[in-house]
Amino acid sequence: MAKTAQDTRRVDRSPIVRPLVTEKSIAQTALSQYSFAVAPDASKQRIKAAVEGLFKVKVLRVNTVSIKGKRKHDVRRRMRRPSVQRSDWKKAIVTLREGDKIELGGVNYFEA
Amino acid sequence: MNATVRKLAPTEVELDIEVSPSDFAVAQDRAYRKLAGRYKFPGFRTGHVPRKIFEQHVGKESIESQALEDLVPEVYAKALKEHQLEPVDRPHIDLDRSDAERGVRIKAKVAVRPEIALGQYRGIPVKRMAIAVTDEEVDHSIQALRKRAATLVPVEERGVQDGDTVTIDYVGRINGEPFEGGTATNHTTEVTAERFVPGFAEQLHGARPGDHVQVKVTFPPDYRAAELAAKDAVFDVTVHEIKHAVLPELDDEFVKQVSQHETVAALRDDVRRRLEAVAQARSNEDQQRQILDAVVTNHMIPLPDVLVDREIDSLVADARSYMQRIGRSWDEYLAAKNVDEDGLRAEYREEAARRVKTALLLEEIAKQEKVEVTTAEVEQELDDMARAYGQTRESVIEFVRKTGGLGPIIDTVSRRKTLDLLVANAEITDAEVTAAQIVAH
Repeated sequence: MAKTAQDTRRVDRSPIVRPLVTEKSIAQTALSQYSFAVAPDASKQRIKAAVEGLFKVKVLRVNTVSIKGKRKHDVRRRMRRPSVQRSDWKKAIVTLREGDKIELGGVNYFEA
Repeated sequence: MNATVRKLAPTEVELDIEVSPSDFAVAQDRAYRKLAGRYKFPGFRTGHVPRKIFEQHVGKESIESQALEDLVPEVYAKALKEHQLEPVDRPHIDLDRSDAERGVRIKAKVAVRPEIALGQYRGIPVKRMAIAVTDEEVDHSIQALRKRAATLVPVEERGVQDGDTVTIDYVGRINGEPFEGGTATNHTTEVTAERFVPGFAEQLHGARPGDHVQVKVTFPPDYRAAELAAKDAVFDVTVHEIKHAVLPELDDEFVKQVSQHETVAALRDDVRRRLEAVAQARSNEDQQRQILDAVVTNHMIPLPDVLVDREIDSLVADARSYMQRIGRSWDEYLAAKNVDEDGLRAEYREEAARRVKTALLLEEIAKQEKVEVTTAEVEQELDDMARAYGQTRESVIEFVRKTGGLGPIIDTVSRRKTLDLLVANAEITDAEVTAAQIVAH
């Protein structure tokens, strides 16, 4: 898998929305598991390809979970319908080969 | 931490403190934990954000400055302790963190107590005044008691005599113009020379009720109202009433009325004892003053400017509050002394320096002689204060808590004990003069 910088530009990054940076996701990096928000229609195979291509790591496993958006009450919208539907989204937890790491913009967000 | 001292002046040092990178890292870590709790990051509970993310959003600088804010006072205090320095002021601190990898260098310039090499303070020659009280002095005090209890009897058949109490109207004029404070009606006063401008009382002598008298006087050149000093004035005085003071007979009856004593002899004894106590106190004060004068002259020590300036501040503040109490404005006072505030401060400098020097020397002697203040002595002092101010012990303690704690009280007691020690070790010879003569002098 000798990938160069040139190659990362050709990777299909559409399945990945953004990395998830939360207390929980950071705790999981200790287990080589990294979390992302992904497109609701992305398949595990496409997610794996995208992560491997973008970060030059070996993905062992992809777990996904679809999350229903919550219904929230928005006090600022009193005159219109005050309850708001948050978007549905999908979370992917990617397990890497031991020793592989993911950094973003030169900064390792995923490490405490 | 590694600290070195450099002496800049006899009372000023510069501390050069180096904080190692690892110590600085520890301090930064503590600072980050402290700061993290103040920010909310999405996805993290308050205070649980990782340092990297915190630095990305808030900045490394805020962690560093917080670390220094906590670290500097800590290492400064440690460095003082290590080199046994006693600062008398806040330090001027310079930070050098040009090379953050190598830690921090802190330069602290601060005024310190001078090192004092004590010379002679034991066996200072002192003249002790005699404290014997003469019969005349006792008589004088008893006469004052009688005078206070005197009854005033109106006099019709003779003119004003010295010692009479008169009710008068007067209008004073300088060059024909009435002046401020020179006019009064129905003014009651005793006719004695001390109560008037020189010459005034004498010119009232012989006047009868209803008489008009013209009094011509010249204000003395050092009169307290400067605008009147050395001026000639004419007073038109109308005498309304003359009263003569009749002193009560000095007998046991009178004694029972004005005191708890039963007989004249007992009153005389009591008066004598009081006078002796006053004389004793003055004699002690005088001995202490002689010793302090000698000790202060015997020692040359460099004085920290901050201490002297602070003492000047307190002298100025005292003068100001005194003026306020007697109802004169500060500007008026300065004008009367013909100085501005800076000039006044310059005048106070010598006295302030003397006080600072005395205090430093007494503290040094206390240290040398291991003068210790016990808890019991502090308790005693608090009781004495309560009695002196007529307050309860609790309210005195409350007051002390509000005004700087027990420190100043301990200092007072320690100072007194040191003075006692100096007197006890002085070379005392009895002088011929009595306390009363010293006071008169």
